[in-house]
Amino acid sequence: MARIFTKVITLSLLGIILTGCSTTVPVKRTFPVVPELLLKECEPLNTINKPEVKLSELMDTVSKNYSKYHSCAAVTDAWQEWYKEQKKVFDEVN
Amino acid sequence: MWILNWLPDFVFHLILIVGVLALLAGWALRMVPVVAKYSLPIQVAGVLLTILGVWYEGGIAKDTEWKARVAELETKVAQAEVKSATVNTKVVTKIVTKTQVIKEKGDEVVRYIDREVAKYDAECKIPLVAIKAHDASALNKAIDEIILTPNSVIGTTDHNALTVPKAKKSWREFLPK
Repeated sequence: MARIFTKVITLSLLGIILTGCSTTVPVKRTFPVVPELLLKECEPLNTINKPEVKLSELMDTVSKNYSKYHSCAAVTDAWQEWYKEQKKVFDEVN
Repeated sequence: MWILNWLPDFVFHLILIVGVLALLAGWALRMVPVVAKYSLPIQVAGVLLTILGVWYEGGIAKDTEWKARVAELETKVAQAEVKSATVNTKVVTKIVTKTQVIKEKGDEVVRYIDREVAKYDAECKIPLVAIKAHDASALNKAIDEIILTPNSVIGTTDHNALTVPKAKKSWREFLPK
């Protein structure tokens, strides 16, 4: 009888202790969505691809390529700015 | 404490109250001769219920504290999401404006080339090596790599040699004579 009583007490205490088990706290954070414009790949540069070319045509091609570079550089700069700003926002929460 | 999510808080308050009352009742019943024999089990039950009640009261207090912290974090996360969206808008606005300016300036330069530089087209002959250098640079290739132009000569000797089927030998030719 005494052994059964001891077992019941032990199991009850164990049960009580187990009720103290914690559950996880559901605070969900979503990764910030990157603007579509930043996901666009840099365009390939133009080539002349013919044996004879006029000076103006060559200059046109060079100028267009420079424009492409500047557009691509702008996107890279934007990526850096986006990361810095988003990191600042992220760190503010903790 | 998961059990606190299952049962309402008043159940645990009730356990503590009943436990304390049982302790008091056990003490009071000792003075009544007829029911004095029940005082010990009632006191034991009172002690157990009081311990249980205090345990859960502690749990409720901690749970409330955590819930407050979760609510605070959720508010911060919501604010961060708004700020994040603002950053996105700012970045997109900036990149759109910048790209537009780059395009306009590029077009202006191209118009200038077509208007002014075109006058010197006849005077200036661009050699093939310059075109080759330009294209190699644009494609990020070495000059030695083949850049096809209508004047390019492709060595086909090796290719043709490889396409000629080798004369087949019979297995008998491999046997020792």
